[in-house]
Amino acid sequence: MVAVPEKLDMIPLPARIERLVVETDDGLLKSFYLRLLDEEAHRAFRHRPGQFAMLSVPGKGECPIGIASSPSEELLMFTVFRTGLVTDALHRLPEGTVIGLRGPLGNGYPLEEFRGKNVVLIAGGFAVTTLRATLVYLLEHRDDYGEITMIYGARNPGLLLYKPELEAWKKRKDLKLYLTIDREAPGWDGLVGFVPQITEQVSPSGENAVALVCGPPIMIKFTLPVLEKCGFSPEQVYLSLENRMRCGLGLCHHCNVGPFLVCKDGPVITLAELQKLPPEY
Amino acid sequence: MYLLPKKALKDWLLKLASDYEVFVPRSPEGFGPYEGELYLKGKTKLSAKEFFLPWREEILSFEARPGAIPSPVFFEPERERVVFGVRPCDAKGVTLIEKVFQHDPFFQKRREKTLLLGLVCREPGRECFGWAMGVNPFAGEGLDALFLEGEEGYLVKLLTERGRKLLESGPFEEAEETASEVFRRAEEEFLARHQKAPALEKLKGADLLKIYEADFWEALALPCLNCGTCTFLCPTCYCFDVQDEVVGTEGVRVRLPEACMFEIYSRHASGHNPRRSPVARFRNRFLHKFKYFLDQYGEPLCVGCGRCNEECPAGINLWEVIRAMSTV
Repeated sequence: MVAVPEKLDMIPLPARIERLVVETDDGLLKSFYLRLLDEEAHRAFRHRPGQFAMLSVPGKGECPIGIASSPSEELLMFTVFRTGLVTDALHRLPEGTVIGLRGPLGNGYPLEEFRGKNVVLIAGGFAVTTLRATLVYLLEHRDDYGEITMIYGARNPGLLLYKPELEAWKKRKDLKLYLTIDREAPGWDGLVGFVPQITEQVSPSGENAVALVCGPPIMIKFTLPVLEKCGFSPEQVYLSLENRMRCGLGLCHHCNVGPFLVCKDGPVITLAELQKLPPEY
Repeated sequence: MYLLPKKALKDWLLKLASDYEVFVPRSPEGFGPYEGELYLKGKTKLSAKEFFLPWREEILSFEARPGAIPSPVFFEPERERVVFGVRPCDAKGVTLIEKVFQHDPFFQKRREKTLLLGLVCREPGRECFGWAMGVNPFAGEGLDALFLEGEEGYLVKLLTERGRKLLESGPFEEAEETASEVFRRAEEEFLARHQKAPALEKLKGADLLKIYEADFWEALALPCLNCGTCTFLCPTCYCFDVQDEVVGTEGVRVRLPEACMFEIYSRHASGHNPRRSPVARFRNRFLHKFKYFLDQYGEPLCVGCGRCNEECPAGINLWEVIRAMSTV
């Protein structure tokens, strides 16, 4: 019998799917609420918003998914877009199935550093997941932060995630929430327009503020100049990268953007840091 | 310093095999368990990297059905391993990989269970340039003992406590005092004729984005077939893939060597690929070796073994790339 070392970072822990929520009308986004089988491991699981974990299905493999739950929430939550081999396998599983979970991985947002500042969250499409974790955290520690603004856009109303929560957040006086869709749609009486346009209209001030931007590359490309106009320096803008990964531990080197390893040095990176790297993301 | 008579080498290796798993270069192709064959004329096509990052490392076994709970697999050799005939450049390569894998239990277990006995090359091979990368073959970095072939036999320099223990059991004579003088002179003569490439210092201070954006990449990468031969033969390339292999109802998760030359290496599930073009992948490999790693660890991720130059089917020469990179 071979003694297996206690800490094998590449070995997933078994986690049960406690609850499944189909988030979007097209059915391509599903939230997985997970509990680690080992109670102690579940209690000990500590992450910060912005980190990710590897989810795995035996025989299919692993893939990195951002953690969408806040550290205070009882279950670990992941919202998964059905797009490849592993995510397709995940989407076929019923509640109660045990899958593999490895994490938390990556750096996450430095939320302690943001204390006393205004925080602007800008999300497009299903990249909203780790910003959901961030927002829940910020609202739980509401007094530690200044103004909190969230701008969140989707192609159409049916593609907005976390709808019941959005409704609750709309009612809060201590959160400025701007929901937008790309084009007019029946039944939608909210904002219409792309995220960069809405950001320009909202025009958040860069003074004593940070902006956290997550979305498709095209949205980011057009949002960054708007933030610059609002007075955000590259040091005040936080992005979250993603790249193909294997180990998630800084060993296999697949996810490198220049010398920056998305899995270990990221995924969160300031625009100032990103500007020093080759554009390989 | 010990002396091993040439004639005693094979008997000693056989004797070692009763206590250890003994591997030697068996042919120009590479290493294998010692069974009498011994190829010591020059370096082998495959380096000793495979003892630490093997062609397959099983990490998990499972029943191939949704919901199955996998069991960890952890390789531990039953007996300690001795690899004899390792070239100093290849051993140096293991130490470079170790900088990245120092906390990886799979790599470390193999390191802990393996003794490396090095052999200094009598003459540099046709494409060798280890010295240019800062490798001193007489220093024996990464080795437990270093053998130098002389007229009477092998002079053996002990480098670690483990090496000392291993050699204590052998048919070694204490070498005369002049022996260490022979060793020292050989080293001096070598170092007097071989220097580190000035290009490395230039690259350390160079601006990354300037090198990245330079216009020579396309021409240099044009012949590259993206076959990955260079990466698999390289004693310092350490990238790996993770795959689930299923046969019938049983499956294993394995780590296996991967090449950054392949299109799939960086392709997202969405189809997006940040290094879609062959030029981008070629450039990334050289920037990793001669910029990213160099900046982080102070040494290039290359030991100058020359295997890439020898075996590249498209005739790409690493020096053309280094020269171009260092003159930006």
